[in-house]
Amino acid sequence: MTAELSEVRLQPLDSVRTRLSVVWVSGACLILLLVAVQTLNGRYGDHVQEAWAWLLPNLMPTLGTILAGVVSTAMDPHRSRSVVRSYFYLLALGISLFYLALVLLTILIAPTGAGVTAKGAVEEMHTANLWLGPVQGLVATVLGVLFASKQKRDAGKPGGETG
Amino acid sequence: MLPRSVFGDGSRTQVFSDIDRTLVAALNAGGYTARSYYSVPNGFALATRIEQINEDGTPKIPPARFAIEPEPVSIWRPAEYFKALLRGVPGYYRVIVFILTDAPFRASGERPTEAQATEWVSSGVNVLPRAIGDLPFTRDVNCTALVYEFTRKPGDGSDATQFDVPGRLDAMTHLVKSGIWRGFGTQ
Repeated sequence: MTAELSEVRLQPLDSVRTRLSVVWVSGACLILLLVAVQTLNGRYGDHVQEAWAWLLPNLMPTLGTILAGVVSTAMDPHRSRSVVRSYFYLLALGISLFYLALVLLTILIAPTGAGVTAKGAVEEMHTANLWLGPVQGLVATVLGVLFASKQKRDAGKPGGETG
Repeated sequence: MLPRSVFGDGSRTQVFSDIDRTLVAALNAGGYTARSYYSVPNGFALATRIEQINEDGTPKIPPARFAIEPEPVSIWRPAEYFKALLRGVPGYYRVIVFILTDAPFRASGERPTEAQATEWVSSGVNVLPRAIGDLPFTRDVNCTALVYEFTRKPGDGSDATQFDVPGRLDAMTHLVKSGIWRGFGTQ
């Protein structure tokens, strides 16, 4: 068992959480800022409520999970000894970037089609939920493991995988 | 009011159908193939189909010209794209109505809706009735071009299109930019 683990590339859980938090917070802030500027410029006309009602549920649950995980360890004086397999970290990073890109593309692509009008843009947002929903489910599963699951308390041992 | 010179040099007696032919030829030159005739006191009105125009009064390139919704923008035109992304695309619309009559008239102050203006091209008749066409084009008869402008703010749907009073551009600018004025010149 020990020999097998030594062949697996591992990353500290704290480091993985930090990197994923940066990706999510910066990505979500970019998207929120974009939609805020659009809203202030009247891009969504009478459909502002619908646009935000689409955006917030697509970002906030995952962002909340991440921030809750970060906050819960912020006051912990001890450095976590848990580690994460690198391929799992890359999976979490890849699926997060893919999801954030899908949300951003939904907004960016709107003026090039029927979404050039406010009504059309909101309709396209609702259509995008068809694929955003399942991907968000995958994101929540993967990030839930990294941010919400309890770490093994392994006193004295140099490492313990999450799960 | 259009100068009488656009309808000929006055060397021969003209009737309303002669004026109609000149108007139709000018409209055709401007790309206005759909039009509708209405009866007005002592004359007729000729209305064009509602069209989408650019901010400067030039018509949009078809099929966007006669579409109600704004045209999607290309991502390869960055300035236009980012404007559409952040602010939306405003819509400018126009209906031109020529009125040929010797009866004086004034604006009623009633604001037509975009829906009403859209119907103008279909609720009239397709040709000038002979009874009106045979009326003489005397010196008391004037041909007036009324230009109805509509604007839709960025982000609003086509149902939120507003009639502009006063219009952003003057009637002559509209006639020139629409290509109709050039059509008169080729008669």
